[in-house]
Amino acid sequence: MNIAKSFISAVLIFSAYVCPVAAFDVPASDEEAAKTLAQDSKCFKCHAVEKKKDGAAYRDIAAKYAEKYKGKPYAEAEARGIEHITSGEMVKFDDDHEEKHKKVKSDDQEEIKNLIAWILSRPGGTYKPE
Amino acid sequence: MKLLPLQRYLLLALLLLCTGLANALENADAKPLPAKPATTQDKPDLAQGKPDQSLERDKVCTRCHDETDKPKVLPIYQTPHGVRADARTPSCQSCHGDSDAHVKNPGGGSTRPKTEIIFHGPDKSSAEKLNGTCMSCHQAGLRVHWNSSQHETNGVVCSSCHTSHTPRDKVLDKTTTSQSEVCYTCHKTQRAEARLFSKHPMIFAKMACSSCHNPHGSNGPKMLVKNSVNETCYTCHAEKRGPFLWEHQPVIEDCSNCHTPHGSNNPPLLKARTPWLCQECHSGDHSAQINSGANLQNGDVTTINGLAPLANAPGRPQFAGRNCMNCHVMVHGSNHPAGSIFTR
Repeated sequence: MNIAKSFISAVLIFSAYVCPVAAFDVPASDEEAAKTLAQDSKCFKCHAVEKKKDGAAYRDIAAKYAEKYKGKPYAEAEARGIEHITSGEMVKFDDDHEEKHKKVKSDDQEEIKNLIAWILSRPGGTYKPE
Repeated sequence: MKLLPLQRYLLLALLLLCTGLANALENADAKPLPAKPATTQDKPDLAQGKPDQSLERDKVCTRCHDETDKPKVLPIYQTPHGVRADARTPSCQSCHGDSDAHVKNPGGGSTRPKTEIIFHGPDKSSAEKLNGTCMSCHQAGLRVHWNSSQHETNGVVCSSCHTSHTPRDKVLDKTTTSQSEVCYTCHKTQRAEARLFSKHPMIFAKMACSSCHNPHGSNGPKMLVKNSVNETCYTCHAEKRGPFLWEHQPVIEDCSNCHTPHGSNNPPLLKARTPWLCQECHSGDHSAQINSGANLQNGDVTTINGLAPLANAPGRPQFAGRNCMNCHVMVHGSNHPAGSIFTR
């Protein structure tokens, strides 16, 4: 019995670490449109889907948002994401210098929401709270 | 004192010998010239003897400009500019400048400062700067006449025609029509001419613009690869070169007296239809009688030379012959003892 309990606990811990379940339901997104907008906005200069560049990997960003907005509605996470990519707020780089984050090159809210949904639905990311 | 001729020569030889010795001694004492200070413009920033060193410098750029970049930049590693085993391989900075401001973005703005050397777009660097960047390595060979060539003086830059970040540079590919298409983007008349009835086979990719022209400049007219029109034509049409026992003077002077190079509706690439083309020079009456072969019933053409006393005699025998080259087949020149009128 103890062995079974331990096994189930181990599986749950492993799942929580490797495949964090989103705390909210991310709506479906148009991948092609999202990638095109990201490309046009030069997001991929600093971000990639799976690897860390100057900016975090998109899948890690998705994991971070899933953790931070656990139990909260998706709209909150979406609003924060939109603010991040449209306001030009300052972001810190690994060498501690700061720059304004690039603004996404679109005024169409639906396009921007689609991009956020695509980013937040990237699977396989990890997030370790500081 | 009056010198004998022999004494004069000996004195002159002695004088020359002394001058030569003095020069030799002076040069022996001379110090070597100081090396010219290297600048970005005249000395490329190449990896110094270590083939992979350029990749180290490239890392600064490829950190952001990776496989997701648009337009794609990494295919440069499939070109001669990306050969890792060659110590001459340039780094990104060799062509685009060190661009510290672009890398570090000291202002922290959301838009980074541009690189020091920009090849495309509205902020393109000056033609002089762009060409200087390429010519710092590519100044020899076909490009020795680049300075003051027609393209250079008209502000054309290397990157107007060449693409260095693609595995296949369109203008270097002579196996397709891609080179011609690049030239035609500016030379639109030639694009149209190359589709006329008679043309050089550029649209079939059997030859390219660079078969006759050197776009980097040349000593010849119209940036031809050779020093004259005829020399250029003879590189393929060797049978027209001669020497001939009987020369046709306009042929010797310039092929373009009769031919147009890019295309014509009068084969073979003639500027006008014969016999009118020939009559531009040969305007007198034909010296011999010609049987036109057009003896139609109630026809008006028989044996004629412009003087035939026929009621309906045509004015010009050349017209009756229809085409001068029907008889004067060796119009480019003849080596036959009796070929003075190019009939054999």
